[in-house]
Amino acid sequence: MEHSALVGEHFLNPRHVGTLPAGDPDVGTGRVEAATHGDVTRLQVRVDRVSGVIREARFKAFGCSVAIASASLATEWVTGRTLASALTITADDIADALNLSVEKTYCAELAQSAIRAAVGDYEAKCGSSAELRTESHRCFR
Amino acid sequence: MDNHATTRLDPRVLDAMLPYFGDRFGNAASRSHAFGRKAAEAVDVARRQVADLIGARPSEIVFTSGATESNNLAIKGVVAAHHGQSGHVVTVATEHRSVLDPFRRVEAAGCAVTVLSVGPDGRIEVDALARAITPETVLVSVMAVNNEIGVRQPLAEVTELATSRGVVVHTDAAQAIGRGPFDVERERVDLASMSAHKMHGPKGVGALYVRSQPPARLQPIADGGGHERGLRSGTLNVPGIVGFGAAAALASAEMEADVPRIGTLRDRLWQGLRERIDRVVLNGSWEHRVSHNLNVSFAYVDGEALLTALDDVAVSSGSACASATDEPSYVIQALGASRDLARASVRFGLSRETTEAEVDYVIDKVARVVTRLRELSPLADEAVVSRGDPVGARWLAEP
Repeated sequence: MEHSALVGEHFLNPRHVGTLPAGDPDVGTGRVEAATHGDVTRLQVRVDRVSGVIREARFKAFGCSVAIASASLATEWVTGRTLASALTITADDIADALNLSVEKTYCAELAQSAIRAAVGDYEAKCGSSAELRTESHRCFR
Repeated sequence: MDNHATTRLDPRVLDAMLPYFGDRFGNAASRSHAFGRKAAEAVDVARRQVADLIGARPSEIVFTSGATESNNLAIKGVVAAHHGQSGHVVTVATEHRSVLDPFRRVEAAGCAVTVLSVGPDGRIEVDALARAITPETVLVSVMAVNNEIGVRQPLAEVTELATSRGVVVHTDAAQAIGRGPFDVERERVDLASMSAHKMHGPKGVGALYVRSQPPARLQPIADGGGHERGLRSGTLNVPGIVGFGAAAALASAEMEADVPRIGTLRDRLWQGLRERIDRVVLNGSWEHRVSHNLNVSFAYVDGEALLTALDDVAVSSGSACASATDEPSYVIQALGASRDLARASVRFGLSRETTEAEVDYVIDKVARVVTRLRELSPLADEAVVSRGDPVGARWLAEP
């Protein structure tokens, strides 16, 4: 199947492949699976507790070239953004940027879900930590 | 390495065909003048060449546009010639779409259809076929060699059983012809579909073998000028048929030397892949496989991603994302494999043109790409962290 040049670029040279320590209180981990296709994307963010800015992101993905490219692009987009801003990234944005066909939009949806799950995981960690709750406004959002 | 999809036209076949695109443009049905007679003679030669390859008589060869048409003619033609719409027909879950879809068509028209399942080796149980055949059964269609996993069905046993019950046997032999001995007398089939482009012949031409003794009863699906003994009307594709004949003659002459050599290369490929890559799963029987085929799944790696990264190595995948359909290979799933394993399946198809250097290049490239994609795969490191967890268990425990 023919894909856009940007899909090819991200697939052949994926950005930010790897793993952050999931136990780190500053790290949020999102692991999502496409129910119908079986693709798995894991996206992690390291958040600056003071500014609420995502300092770094890592991903791993099992799936077709488009699923991998979507996750790679997502890590590029979230890096340097605040949590609130990262949550505004939509599947449509990713699908548009990668020029995905309708059949492939599920890959972009998977990347969006992974971002939300990672942010959600970080926020849950914040909320459940007594130490952090004292400065709860710093969990952002 | 994608020679199950198609093969390169042999230059010698092209040479044989070229005059029939030029001066020898006659219509093989115009036997009243020299132009037509020349074409008719060329078709006669080709008919004998194709018949010789499969141990048939020339009069038993019906030229068609390819194996898809041959399969349609065989299945719909037998059903129409027998009980019409009230009969019972039997086929196999791993058949090519050009067999399964005609079966769906006759089922929609009222025919009862039984689809036999296969074991992990990709073969049917002949006992299951024995239980499936009823007094109403008019046709059994079992492919000779599977197009994805290259596994031979126990065809001679199928025909022995079906013939003893008076049931017509059709086989889709598109992947078998030219890839080893295939003899219609030894296999005792009544109908066999063939395709020229799977054996270094041209695309758009094939044939249906139709047994004459005892005669296989068949109704045409295209009516018209009554060509091909009334079974396939339509002006003959003379250059294509000449090419098919030339390809068949080459296969007859060279197969005996080619097949073992191809088998050695295929074994080298399988051994090389296993040495370089762990967790490789062979799909289907090894023992009953044609020499030209290797079909494996690389755990934790999607087939489409692998194909895309391989770039200059042409292989094909059972991954849904690699094709127009939205389900991973039904053939690999029919072996009992998970959807993950089916989508990770990769088919290598060798031919007489494959070289040792190509095999070694493919081994190295596949090994490097699989390694890179596994570094990308969350399933690979999750499985390392906890063997036997639900994610790790998605893959067969292969050493």
